[in-house]
Amino acid sequence: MTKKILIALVLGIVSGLFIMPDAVYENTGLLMDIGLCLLLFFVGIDLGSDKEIFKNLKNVGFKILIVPAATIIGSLTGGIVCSFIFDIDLFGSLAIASGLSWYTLSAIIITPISSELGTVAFLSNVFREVMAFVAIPFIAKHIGYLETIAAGAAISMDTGLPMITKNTNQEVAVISFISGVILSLAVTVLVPIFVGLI
Amino acid sequence: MALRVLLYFGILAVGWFLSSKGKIHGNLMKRISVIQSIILFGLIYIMGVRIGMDDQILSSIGQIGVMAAVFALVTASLSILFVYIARKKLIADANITGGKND
Repeated sequence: MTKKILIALVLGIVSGLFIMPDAVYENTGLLMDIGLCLLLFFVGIDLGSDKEIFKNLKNVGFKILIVPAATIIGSLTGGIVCSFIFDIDLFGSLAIASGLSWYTLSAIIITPISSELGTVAFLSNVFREVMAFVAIPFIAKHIGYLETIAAGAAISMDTGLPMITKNTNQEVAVISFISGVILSLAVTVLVPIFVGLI
Repeated sequence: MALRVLLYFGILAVGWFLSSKGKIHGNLMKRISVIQSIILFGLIYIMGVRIGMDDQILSSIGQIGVMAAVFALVTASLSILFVYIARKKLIADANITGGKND
């Protein structure tokens, strides 16, 4: 699975670099939206085919919230660590870490304060999304199902959801969606707070 | 943002509703996994195309790419570690942990 994903990604990058005309770029956003909606529809069909999912989730209860909470705490700790590694402003580093893979929003909010931090935010969150895609099959197999959600963070409700569903099960897919929504909402709150403190 | 979340949730809910009511043809149900894989690889390909065509990403990869890669690696790794510790202590259901609590 990981190999196929890497091949698809590399083929895409090479195509984008050397083959595709510039006009294609404007349409890729729409194509991704359509593909994503189709994928979510099929994930929904997959979820609906298993009658036991919600019964099982009731047994877990509010412990579901542990996943997004631990994901946020882990990312913010990472931001603190990186501020020491690169000797950059602590709150700038926390703002980058608060992107939680949502690269467009975090970069847009940070760039007016610092272009460099904004670019780091953009790239690091792009990298985190790509890393998550590549690592999810390995994490699901060797570490645990819930940790797949932590890898991609905010993408767990959209682009990462099909990948998580494919490598875990329907219960985890539901937790992934809920966690992704909470994490995406957290990005809209945390990034502006830390940018305000820079 | 709110509209997008609602859209995603709505699409998931429609798929879930149709499937739970048995409205999806058996032949389609058998091919769900293959269809998901095809769309998924298509999406990843398009994501690659976007990266390959984005001058902003390509031009800055050399300068601050390493910094961004370390950020990505450290934040993702610590998120995974914290979720791992939390679920080890608090969640025992093997069905959602992947049976890694044993």
